[in-house]
Formats: sequence, structure tokens, C-alpha cells
Amino acid sequence: MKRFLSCLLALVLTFSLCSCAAPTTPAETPDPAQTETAPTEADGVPLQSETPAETAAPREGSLFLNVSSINLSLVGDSEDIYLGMIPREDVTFESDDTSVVTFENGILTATGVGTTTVRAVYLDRQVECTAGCLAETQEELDALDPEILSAPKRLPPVVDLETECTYFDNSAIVGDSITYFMFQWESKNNYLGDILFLARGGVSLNGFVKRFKNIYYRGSEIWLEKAIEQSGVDRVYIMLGQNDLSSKARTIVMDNWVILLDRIRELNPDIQIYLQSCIPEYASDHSLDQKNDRIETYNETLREFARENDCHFIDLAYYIRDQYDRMPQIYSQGNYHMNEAGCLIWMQILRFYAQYELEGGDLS
Amino acid sequence: MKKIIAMLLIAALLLSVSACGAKEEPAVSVDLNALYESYGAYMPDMFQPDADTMMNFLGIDTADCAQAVVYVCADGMRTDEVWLIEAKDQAALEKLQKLAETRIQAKADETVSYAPDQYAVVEKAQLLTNGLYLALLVSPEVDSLKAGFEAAFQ
Repeated sequence: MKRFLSCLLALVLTFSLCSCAAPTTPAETPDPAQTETAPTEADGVPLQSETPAETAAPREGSLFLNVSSINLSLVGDSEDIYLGMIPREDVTFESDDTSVVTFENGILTATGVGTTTVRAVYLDRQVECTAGCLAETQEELDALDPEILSAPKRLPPVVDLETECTYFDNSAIVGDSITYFMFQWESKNNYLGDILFLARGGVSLNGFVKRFKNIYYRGSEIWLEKAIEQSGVDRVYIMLGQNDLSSKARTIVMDNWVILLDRIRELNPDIQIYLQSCIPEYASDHSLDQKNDRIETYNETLREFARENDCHFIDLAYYIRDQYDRMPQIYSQGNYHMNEAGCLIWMQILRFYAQYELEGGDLS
Repeated sequence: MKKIIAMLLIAALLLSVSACGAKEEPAVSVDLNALYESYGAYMPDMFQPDADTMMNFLGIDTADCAQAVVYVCADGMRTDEVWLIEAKDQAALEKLQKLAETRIQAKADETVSYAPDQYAVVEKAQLLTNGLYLALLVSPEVDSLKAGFEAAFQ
């Protein structure tokens, strides 16, 4: 009997212990991080009956929009400004005023004249930008103050240039006088860290390929691929073509790219190559509009070329445009160079995409 | 008689050569930072390249220099540039002179096609030496800068 009673007691004890432990299992314990920071309906985020976070583990990575500010020209214009890293279907896209712009699946669409804020939200992460629309019709747009029309259409995401940057310490940036201007402004503050400038006024793809205008490096004029090799960098950012487009057909320019990249890779097989789009030019009287059309077409070809030739692509021109696709007047120094303000934006773009890549973004 | 005249001529030549040599030896040590500061009124917005940039961009090896004060214009539309360098020795001076000549040529190439006003500035660039001191002066105010360099040795 004693044995029976002690068995019964042990059984009761075991049951009671099990029922005590049950409420403390991790599966039923709310994650304080999530409950404290996840958006709620009161925060302006519509709650869904079954969010992905409830069915899958939270995804890693930041949210990226490719602008901090954008002014669409006309009602009906739309633009995809979402860069990731979280898949679109998991992200909530919001507009504070849908009578100005809607923001769905990462795509802005202008619905009326005005300015508002849009944002992408995922769990406790969010990123926002200013979005607006200037006019209902082309006639209304053309009648606007020229200062508005020649202002930048888009601004890159904000980067604090004052914070130390080491990302480019083993990188070179190659280009003509446009890049040389940037070298002069960058060197005042070293916003790109120890990046190496291989820039020279008047150089072109054709000049490099035909060897009649090369790069000054360490006091000597040498071939570009040799300078890259001697510098030992493992990343090179190149902006070329501006000096070729005036006199060479696009097919010849692209053939020259093939030759130049082959030469660079022959001496530097492991190098990462970043092609930067060419920037539009500025003329208040629109006399350079045709050239700008050629630059735009060239940039599209270059983007495709980069994809097919295992290069990264940074669309600098995307940010260096006003409402007429010219270089914004406030960035312009002469017709085709950029002043300090323009070069600062350029540095901001490079820094932003460096950050984007560091967090897993893909520029290929 | 001919022999005496010839000896006199040689003596005169030697004296003049030694006088020239004496003239090239700077009597004073020049503080090149102070000299550059005296150019302040003539200088636009300039930046001072660090040692790596001096080497990569201009070819100047700081190991060749007892003093190196180098400034390049920060404004891309201007070609202003000043090198004030005291070379370590004669061989370094000759190397630096060649670099300065290359630099003038590079600046001429860069400006000749699209910045004729700046090309005119480059054409008037001055490459001066005094003993182991060297100055490359590219500026619309080159005459004033040159006068400042020369005055520093008086």
C-alpha cells in the first residue's frame, strides 16, 4: 500500500511539474524585441490578419530606397524606387497623401500636384523619402519657374560624408576632366577616404585604346591598365564616353569598351569593375538636349553592357537630371563639368552604393 | 704674351664660374610654409595633397624632399598649382625638376582644348630653382609669386 501511495504521489508530482513548465516554453514567450518595436495600427501601419513575420522567421537586412527626394514631372508618371533588401511582397509601402502619390510594391505613381512622404516598412525597420509631382499637364509644367525646372529631379539617399570611410581605400576611380574636377573637390575633405584618382582632362575610350592619351601615374604617362596594375587596387570605378560620343558612333564606343576591359582584366584578372553612367550636360537654352539624348541612349547601352560583361553599374546620371533631363543648373560648372555641389552629390552616391553593397546589395 | 692672355682669360673664366656657383648657393634657409603663406592673397581655394596623393598624382616622393609644400587648386575650372620644395640633394632636385616639367606639360594638354584662358596661365608657368630649392608656380599672379620666391633668398 505504501508502495502504491508513493507511486501515486510521484505521478501527481510529475504532472504538476509538467503543467508548471508549459507556460514558460520559448514558443509561447513573446519576443520583447518584436512586441516593442513592430509597427502597430496606431503607428499608421495597417495590421494584417497573417503577416509574414507570424509565419516565417524575420528577414535580415536593411530597407533601401534609391532616393531621399523625388519630384515626378506629371500626373501619371511612375517610378520604381525600391532597392531591397527585403522582398517586396514582405514590405508594406505607404504614402502619407495618396492624392499626390501612391506607393505600391515599391513603385511611386503621381496622382496630383503636391509633395508628401512615402515609406517602406518591414517589422521594426522603415525607410522614407519625400515624393512629389509638379504638374497635371506638360503645358503647366513648361509654365513653371525655370528654377524649379532646372533643379535636381532626384536626390540620393542621405549619407553623412563627414563619417570616416575606408570602403574605397583599395579602389581607383578613372575618368576624364569630369572625374578630375571631382578629384580636386574630394581632395579637400577626403570624403572617399584613400581612393586613388586616375583622371586626366581630355581622355577618352578611344584615346586609351589607341594609346594616344594615357594616364599620369607617379610622375609618368603610362597605359591605364598598367597604372591599375601598379596601384594594386582591387576595385576600379570608371566613367568614360563623354569625350567619345561627340565624334564616335555608339557601336565604336562600345567596341572600345570591349578592348579596354580585356586589357584591364588581362593584367588585373581579379579586379572588380564598376561602370558609371555618363552625366547629362547643361545648357539653359536646351541646345545640348540632343547630346543629352545620345548620352541617355549610351547609358542604357552601357547598363546592358555591364550586365553582359560581369561589371557593376552605378547610374550616376539618374541623380544628375533636372525636369528636362539636363544636368541641374546648381551642379553645373560650364556645360559639362560639375561644381563642388555636384561633386558632393556624386560622392554621396558612391558612398550610398558602397553601403548598399556592404549590406548585400547587388549592383551587377 | 699669348700665353699670359690665355692664362688671364682662364683665370677670369674660373672666377666668373665660381661667382655663378656662389650665387646659386642660397645664403639663407627658407621656411617654405611661411613663403606659401605669404602667397595667400593670390591663391584661390587650394588643397594640399597628402604624401600618397603627391606620389601617385604628381610623382613627388617625400623621401626626396627636405621640405615639400604643394598646393593644387580645388576648383576644377582653374589650373593654379604651387610646388615649393627643398630637395634632399642634387640628384633629387634633378628628379623633381623633371617631374615639374612633366606636370606643366600635362596641365597644358589638359587645358589646351577646352580652357584657353587656363592654357594661357599654364604657358606662363615658372619653374625656378635656387640651390636645392625648387618652385613650380602656375597662377595668373605668377609674377608676384616669382618675386616672392626670389625675395625669400635675399
